[in-house]
Amino acid sequence: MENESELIKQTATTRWTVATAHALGRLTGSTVFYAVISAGALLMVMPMIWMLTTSFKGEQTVFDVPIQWIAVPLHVENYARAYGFVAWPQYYFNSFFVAVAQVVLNLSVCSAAGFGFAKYRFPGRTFCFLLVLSTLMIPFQVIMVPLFIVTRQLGWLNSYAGLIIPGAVGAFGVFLMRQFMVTLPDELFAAARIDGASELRLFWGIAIPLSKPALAALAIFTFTGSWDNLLWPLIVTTKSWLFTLPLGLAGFNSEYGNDYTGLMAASTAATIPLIILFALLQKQFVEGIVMTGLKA
Amino acid sequence: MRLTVAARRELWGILFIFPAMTWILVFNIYPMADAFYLSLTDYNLLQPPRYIGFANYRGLFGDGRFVHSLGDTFGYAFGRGIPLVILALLIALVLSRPFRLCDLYRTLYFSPVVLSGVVVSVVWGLLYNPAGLVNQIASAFTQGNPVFWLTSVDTAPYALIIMAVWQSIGFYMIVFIAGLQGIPAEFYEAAAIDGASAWRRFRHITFPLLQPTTLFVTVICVINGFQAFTYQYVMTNGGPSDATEVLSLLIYSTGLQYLKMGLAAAMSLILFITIFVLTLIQLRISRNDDVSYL
Repeated sequence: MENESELIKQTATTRWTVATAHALGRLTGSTVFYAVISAGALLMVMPMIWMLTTSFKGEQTVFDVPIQWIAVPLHVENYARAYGFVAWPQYYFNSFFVAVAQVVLNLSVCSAAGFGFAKYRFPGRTFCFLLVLSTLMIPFQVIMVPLFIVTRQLGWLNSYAGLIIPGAVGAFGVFLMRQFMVTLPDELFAAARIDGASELRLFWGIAIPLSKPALAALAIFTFTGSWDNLLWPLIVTTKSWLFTLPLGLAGFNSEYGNDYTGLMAASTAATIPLIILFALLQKQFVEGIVMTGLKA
Repeated sequence: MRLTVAARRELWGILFIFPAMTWILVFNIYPMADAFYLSLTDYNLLQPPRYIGFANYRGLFGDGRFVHSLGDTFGYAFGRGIPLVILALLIALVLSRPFRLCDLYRTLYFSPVVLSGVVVSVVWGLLYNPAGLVNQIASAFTQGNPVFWLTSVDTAPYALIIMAVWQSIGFYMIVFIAGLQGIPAEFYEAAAIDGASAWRRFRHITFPLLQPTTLFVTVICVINGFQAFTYQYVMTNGGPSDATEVLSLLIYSTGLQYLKMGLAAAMSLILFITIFVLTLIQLRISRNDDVSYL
C-alpha cells in the first residue's frame, strides 16, 4: 500500500519534471528563436532607420558615438534645404509620368499580345513566340549602345518619348500574359462567340477581367522597375528638366555629397512613394514575385 | 471582299500581337543584331561605321583594363550570388513555417527590396563613411582604426557585395518560401512516422524537392550580378583604381562617354556570351542531379 502510493507519487513527480522540462525547453527554444530572428530583422531595418533619423539631425551630430537613434531637436529644415538645391518637383513629376506611361503601354500592348498568342492560331505564331522567348535572354546592358543609336535616329534624345517608349514594352510582359491567358478555358470564349460577341469584346470583356492577378504583377514590376531605373535615363537625357528621381538623387549626391543630413532627407523623401505603394499592395507584391520571380 | 470565319480569326490574332512584335523587333532584336554588326566596326557616331573585322575583340583581350573589369564582374556576380542564395535559403527555412508574427518578420526582411538602388547607394555611402555606423559597429574588431571601406582597393568590392546581399536577400527569400510551401506536407508526415531526423528530412525531402526553385534562384541571381551598374556608378564610379569597375560601367563609359561604340558593342557581346554560357551550364548541372519523386 505504502509502496504503491510512493510509486504514484514518484510517477507524478517524474511526469511533472518531464512536463516542466519540455515547457522550459519550448520556452527557451522559442526565446532563442525570436532572439535570433529579431537580431537579423534589426540588421535588415537598421540602415533605413539610420536614414530616417539622420534626415532629422543637426549636421554636427551625424556621426556621434554612441549613435543617437532619436534626433532631438528635430531639424525639419534639412528637408527644406535639400528641397531648395535642385528641382525635386520636376524630378518627381518626371518619375511619375514616365512610370505611369510605361505601365499603361506595357499592360495594354502585352495583354493584347498575350491574348493573341494564347487564344488564336495563325501562320508564324510559333516563330513569333520563339522570337519573344529568345529576347528574354538579352540583358539590357548588351543592347544599350545600339538602343541609344536607334533612339537618336528617331530624334528622341532628351525627350519624354525617348525616356518612355524604348523600354516600355518587353518580352517578359508578353511571356507573362501569354502564360496566364493560356490557362483561361477556351469554352468561355466559344460560348461568348455563339452569343455574338466581337473579338475585341472577348479580349476586353472576358480575358482582361480574368487576368487581373497577372496584370497586377506586371503593373507593379513595371512601375518599380521604371521608378528605380538609373541607367536608361542617364543615357538618353542630358537636360536636367528631364531628370527622373534616381538621376536627380545621384546628381545631388555627387554635387552636395557633404551635406549628409540634406542627402538623407532627399533619400527619405524619394523612398516615401515606394513605401506607400508597398504598404497598399503588399499582397500583390509578394504574389507577383511568386508568380513570376523573374525580375529582381 | 468576304473573309471566312477562320481567316478573320487569324487576322485578329495577328492584329493582337502586332504592336508587341513591332516593339520587340525595333527595340530588342534590331539592336541585338546591330550590336553584332557594330562590334566588327570602328564607330564614333560622327563618321559612318568602318568595318574592321575582329580587331575590337583582339584588342579587348590584350587590354588589361577590360580583362580586369571582366574579373571584377565575375568576382561581384559570384561573390554576391553564392552568399545571397545560401543566406536566403537559410532565412526562408526559418521563416517559412507559421509562427506568431511570422508575417511581420517576413516583411522586415523583405523591406530593403522596396528601396531604389540609388537610395541604397547614397545611404550606404554614408554608412561606410570612415566615421560612419559600419565602422562604429566594427570598431570592436578593428581596435578603433577606421576602415576606409569604399576608398581602399581591398575592401571596396566586399563593401558593395555586403550591401547588395542586404538589399536583395528578401526577394530571394520570398521565392524560396513559396518553393518550400509548395512541398506537400505528406512527405514530412511520412518521414516523421519513420522517425527521420531534421537533417535527414532536409537532405532527403526539402533539398531535392526544392531543386527547381534553387536552380531558378541561382540562375537569376548570377545573371543579375553580371548586370550590376547602379551601386558601382553612384558609390565608387568603378574605383578605387578600377577595383569595382564592372562590365556595365566600362561599356557605358566606353560607348556613351568616349563614343567608342564598336569597342563597347564587342564588350557587350562578350558579356552576353558569358551570361548565356553560365545559364546553360547551370541548367545542365541541374538536369544531371534531377531526382524524380513521382
